[in-house]
Amino acid sequence: MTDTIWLRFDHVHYSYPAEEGQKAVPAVTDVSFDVHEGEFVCVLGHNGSGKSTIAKLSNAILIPDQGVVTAMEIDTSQESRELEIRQNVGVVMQNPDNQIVATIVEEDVAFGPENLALPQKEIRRRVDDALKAVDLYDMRFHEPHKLSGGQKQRVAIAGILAMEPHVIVLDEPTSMLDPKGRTEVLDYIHKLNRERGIAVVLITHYMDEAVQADTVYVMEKGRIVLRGTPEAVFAREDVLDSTGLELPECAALASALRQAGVPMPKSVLSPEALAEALAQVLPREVTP
Amino acid sequence: MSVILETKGIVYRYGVGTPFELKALDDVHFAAEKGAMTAIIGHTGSGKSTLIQHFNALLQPEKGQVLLSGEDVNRDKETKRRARFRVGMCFQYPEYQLFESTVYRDICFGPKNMGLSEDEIRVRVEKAAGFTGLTKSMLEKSPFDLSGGERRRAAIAGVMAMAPEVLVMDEPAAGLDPKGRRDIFRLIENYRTSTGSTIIIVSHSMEDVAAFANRVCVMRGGRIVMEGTVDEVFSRYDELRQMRLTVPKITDVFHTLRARGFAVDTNVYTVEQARDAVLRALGKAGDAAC
Amino acid sequence: MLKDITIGQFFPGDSIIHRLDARMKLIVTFAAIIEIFVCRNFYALALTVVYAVAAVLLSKIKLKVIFRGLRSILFIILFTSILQIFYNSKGDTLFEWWKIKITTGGLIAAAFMVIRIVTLILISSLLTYTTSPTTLTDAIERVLSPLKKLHVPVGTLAMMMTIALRFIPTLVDEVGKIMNAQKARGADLDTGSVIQRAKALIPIFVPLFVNSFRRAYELAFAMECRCYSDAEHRTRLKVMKLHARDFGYLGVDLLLLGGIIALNILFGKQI
Repeated sequence: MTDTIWLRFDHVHYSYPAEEGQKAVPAVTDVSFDVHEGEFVCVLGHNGSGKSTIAKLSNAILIPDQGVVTAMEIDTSQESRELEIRQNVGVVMQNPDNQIVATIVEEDVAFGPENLALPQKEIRRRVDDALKAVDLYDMRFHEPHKLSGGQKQRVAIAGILAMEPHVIVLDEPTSMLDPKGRTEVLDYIHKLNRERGIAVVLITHYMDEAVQADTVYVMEKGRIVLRGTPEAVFAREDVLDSTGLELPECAALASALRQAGVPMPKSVLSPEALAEALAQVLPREVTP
Repeated sequence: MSVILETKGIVYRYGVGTPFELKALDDVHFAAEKGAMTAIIGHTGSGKSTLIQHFNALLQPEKGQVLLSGEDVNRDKETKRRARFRVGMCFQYPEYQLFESTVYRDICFGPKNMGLSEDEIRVRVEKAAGFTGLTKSMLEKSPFDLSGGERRRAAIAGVMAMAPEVLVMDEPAAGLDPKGRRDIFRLIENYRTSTGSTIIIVSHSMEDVAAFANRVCVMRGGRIVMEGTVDEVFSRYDELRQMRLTVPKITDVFHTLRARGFAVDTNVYTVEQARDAVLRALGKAGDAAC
Repeated sequence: MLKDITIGQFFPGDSIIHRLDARMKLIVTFAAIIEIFVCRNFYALALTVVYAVAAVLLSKIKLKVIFRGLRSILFIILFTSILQIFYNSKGDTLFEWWKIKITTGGLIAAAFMVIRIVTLILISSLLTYTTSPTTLTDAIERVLSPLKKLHVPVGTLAMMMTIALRFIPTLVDEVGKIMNAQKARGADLDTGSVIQRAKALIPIFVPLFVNSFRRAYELAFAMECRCYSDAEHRTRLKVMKLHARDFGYLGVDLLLLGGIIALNILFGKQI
């Protein structure tokens, strides 16, 4: 990780316009964080914690009431540079059905580049490249509504990828998928981060999706209440308990064992780490 | 325990006579015990949704029978209608079916269709609201003004208000955050224990199945391929893995440990069970050392 | 049911008809429809039938599919032919009872009308059978693009059509789901008076509308995220190119027109 900052939230406040006679409820309050070049960031929070607003603030769909969001060094309040911002910071949403525009996979992926008015050859190159990146090239002529949930979400990711953004923000991309689709989509998100150096902001309420992130931010009532590496954040059970989030099973077991007096290392987040930790304490089976 | 709902060798095909013909159910024998929570698991497209739509006669099998308390639900119009009310069905994302101006009126929809009296309906709605934790002020709101989790509970209340003997739920916690998820499973479990209703649940989450279900039935390619208690089904670990069904991650860890030669039980599916299993293994080791 | 509608359905394939440029197909189909109405006698009409049948055979679309499409308009065919039989009183009288009179002229007119409608349906449904809705929308956009000069928002209209096409299956699916959910709560959609039935649709349509607005809102957001701003200045992935075969197709159509005019002159007006 270098010091280049691709996306920056600087003391951002935002409230949705209130309905008549009601007071505006702040959705995001004093949020600051940086997404560095190639970083994998995870924003955790339960429904209504303000985390979806983060997605909309990151690419100038919403403009902060106070504070500044900078995407690739462009202040998102500069309306004239809206397209440039959105091309650089792509947003994938929760429901794949509502973000696919075209009736053919490859034409959907082409939607972004077409809007950017790129030459036809360049569109072709980007579409093919994006589809290959999510392994859907062979399905490029399929109709999106006949695909599985995981595949649809991959089409949506390819559609963003074809704009060749620096940062991809994903707002609960797996919450409507079955376990197979979930693993599938997460694998591709990690692959894009690893192999293409795309910075990822994964917004989710599943703590286990945060295990492999570089940095984790936990949101509650529109504020960031915890920040740090997954290990550091997961160790703060005192704070996590009040946020309605749930430790991944493996971490929860390690914590339960620790409480029961079994020595467990601090950072047991993955199944592998748990197996290793238990191997240290469990007795070997006596071979008969 | 007695069987309340049963299918006998049902067969169902979609798009009969078109090039897209698909055998969704192939000789399915399913049984739900009265008062128990039975989970149906399987991949998308394994026939789960088609199966549950037979329980209240939304679909009629090509072959075979669906028996509710021993009575064929498809015998005539009257039995079909009875099945609609005796078997409550809550589909995936049920909040998208809410339509009335207030939550209260929406919950009334089912009981009204049953032809109950005003007084009876009010009692039913209040009871259902109690089970789902909907407050008086929520009942007066428009369903569209509630939060996602509240809307889900309002929709579930709409089914519970029919006081069905069998409550079928397709992925009741889909899309909710962990707290919403826990709330839903707790309220279902509470409903079951306080009313003695039978629950059939379709779920992808093995963790939830392990924690709440009494019996599990695994579907694949339109057939039931495994059936039994949670322990009986989850102990067939290798077969489940072959079907690419995820078992709880904790179970995975314990199987790995056993394979590496550690003296530890593998029939652990929840965090509590796992903690106890580790403590047991350590306890035993302590005894042996003495 | 909605799922049984075949008119407007696309059957993927690799026949010469499938490969023709959609713009040319659109123009030629339009021309052919007019040509069918230019026919004044059975000889000219026979020529259009030959043309239509040849096109159907070349498209390699299963005849079963073609017949299924025709079956759905059977009523219209029957209705118009009966009208012709009863209202045309030229020629010899074959049958007369009370006010009903069937004449040879009526039968001939009916036969002419039936052949005309069937040919018309064959030719127009072949266009949708062999062209994907998206390509067709594209073709319409491009054929109409000269209208952009008159400030007609052709791009926006085409975008709307594409989105409609995209969401039809989703909404059909959704209607099915909502219907099932309400039926499970005891909704009775099939019995009762007209008013009762209309009332029974409220629990279906209210959620459908609410959900559609939610979808529309999310879709608009997704489109903005993907830099959608001006439908009239987008470039396109697919470039439509006219090949020799497309001009060949146009040539065939011109020959057809020539033939029809010649036969019209040669044999005069029969109907």
